[in-house]
Amino acid sequence: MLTIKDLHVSVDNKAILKGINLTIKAGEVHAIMGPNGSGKSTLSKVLAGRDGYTITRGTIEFMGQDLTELEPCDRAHAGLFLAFQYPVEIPGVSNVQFLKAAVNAVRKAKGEEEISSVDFLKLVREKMALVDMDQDLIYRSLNDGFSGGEKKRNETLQMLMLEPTLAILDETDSGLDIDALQSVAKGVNSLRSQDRSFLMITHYQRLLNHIEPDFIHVLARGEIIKSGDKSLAQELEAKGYGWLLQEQADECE
Amino acid sequence: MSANNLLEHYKAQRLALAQKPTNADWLTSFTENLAQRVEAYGLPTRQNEAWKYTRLDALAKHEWPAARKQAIAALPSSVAESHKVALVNGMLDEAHSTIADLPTGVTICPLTQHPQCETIKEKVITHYTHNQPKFFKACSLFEIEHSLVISVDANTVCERPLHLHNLLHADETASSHPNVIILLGENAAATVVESFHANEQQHFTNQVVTIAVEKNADLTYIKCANIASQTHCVTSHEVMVARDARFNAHSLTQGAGLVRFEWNVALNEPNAFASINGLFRGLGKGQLDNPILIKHKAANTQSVVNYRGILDDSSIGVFNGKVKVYPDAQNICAQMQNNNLLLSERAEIDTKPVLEIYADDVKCSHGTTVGELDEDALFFLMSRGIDYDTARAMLVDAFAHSIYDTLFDSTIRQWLENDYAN
Repeated sequence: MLTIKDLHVSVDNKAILKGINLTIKAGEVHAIMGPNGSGKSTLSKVLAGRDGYTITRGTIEFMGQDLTELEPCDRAHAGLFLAFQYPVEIPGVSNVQFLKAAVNAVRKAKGEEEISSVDFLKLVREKMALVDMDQDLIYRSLNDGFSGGEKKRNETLQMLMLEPTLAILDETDSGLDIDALQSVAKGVNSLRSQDRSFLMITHYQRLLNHIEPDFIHVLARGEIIKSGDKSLAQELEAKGYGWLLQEQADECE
Repeated sequence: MSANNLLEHYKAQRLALAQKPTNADWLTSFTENLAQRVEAYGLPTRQNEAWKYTRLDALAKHEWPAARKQAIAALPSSVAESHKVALVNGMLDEAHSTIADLPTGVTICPLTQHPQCETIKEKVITHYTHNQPKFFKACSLFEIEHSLVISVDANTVCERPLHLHNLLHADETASSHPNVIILLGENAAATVVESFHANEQQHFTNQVVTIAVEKNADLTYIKCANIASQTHCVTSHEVMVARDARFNAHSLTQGAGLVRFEWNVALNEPNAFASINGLFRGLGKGQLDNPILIKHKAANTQSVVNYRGILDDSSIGVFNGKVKVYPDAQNICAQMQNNNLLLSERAEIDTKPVLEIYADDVKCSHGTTVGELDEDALFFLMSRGIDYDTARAMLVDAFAHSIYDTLFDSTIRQWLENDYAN
């Protein structure tokens, strides 16, 4: 589904990612962990197509297409979704207006008809209930004045409505209380299927207790320095990142 | 002023009006005074602070013979359930107006036919004696006797909105002076919507709107112009607000032409209130000029001025706002804010909110911002599958939203958003 080969990315001529290799197959859940400043969020933004990130080497292939050639909206049409670490507040754009525009844009790209208002509202209500989201929030301005938990629930709602093929969750657990974390996890788990994949970016093992990954990768200084199964997370939680960084330094010598 | 500035012809043409004999002494002395004003001031130049950012080049390229009476086929769309009034080139078109069934106490007719003509004349003349008009205003006021009067008697509430269509319709380059006088008696209330529509000809309209809101009266006035590059619209609104009265205005301008909506609001007596919510959206080489002066002349008066500018292509927006607090006007409250969005590298905004305060117990605030579209917001919307053009339009509308939100009448808002602004 997603194949990243030797990906080098710089921001303002500063190299951030230095040779990422990662393959995600259909149905798999991957987690990327790593210390602050290791390039985790850069990876998610490059995948979603944010301006200002220059790919200096390497390739990203998604569903058989060269992802780097696509505009952010075309990536969404192709089935990619990024749940933002910091969802943007947009006063004046109502949540319902935004969601409907997004759903219809993706449907249109797939050659499907626009969803009727009645069906749309029914679907939104159903999905909001799944993530324990206050129904009133749908008529408010997009994320405007939402609490941290409400914003992340709203991100999950968007994901549930758009049903992406690959969802990237960028530090979805940061700033969440237990209840919100459980709601978000419930939403994500409801979407898990054989032909849908997830890439979770996180600092902590906590999220991984709720959404179990198949693979864990440790990103440090712009490279994946270790990959393993979910037991790696427990090891990291116990020992921190220091031992891995030391190991890598030893190898270099 | 260069010899090839054809506005000099306009000036001569207007001055000739003062030479014409009139059958009323008041008019003779009024126009003589105006002629002196026009001579004394002459055409504004960019050395004049009030005209510093406004380019009159387009106006100077044409002669502006007065538009003739014209028949129109039909009215543009109107606010639902409104009383319609059609002014074509400044002349009342009764055939397209629905003013036969106005509620008792509401009168709409030319000044000279108004039952209270004498009182109104006196009020207007007194005002312009104390507030001497400069070039454009004076040029327009030569036609004071042809003003359309909208009056609401004391203790009368006009339930349905009055929709005044100001139509500029000519077969050749022309000018018009569609002056309007709006008077609300004590305890009266009304909502007036006034919209400009122009046909494809070069048109220069120079308008003065004189408004008096008497004790405890309530006027909502929504003024809008959506015009193309061949239309040039200079309007002055002179507003007098009395004790306990409320004046709520909306100044909505957009397009690729020249629109200058000037507001001079005098809060003359204690507890008077005025608000102006403005939205200006420039396209092409449009110039949207907003001179505003709020005069707090009495204690306990309150004003709110909130404008948003959205400027695309190589359009220019000007916000030149001043709150003036007179000595002894204690315990007043004034807010003035102008936020702008520049959508193009060639677009320009010149913004200057000013406070001039001569009293010592006042609460005043003023501020301005200039920004671009938020890249993060744009990326967020696009990452959800929304294409660039749609995402941009959503963000621009969101910026304008807070001004539309101040329109409490949903039928007027619907007409504006669905019929007029597009």
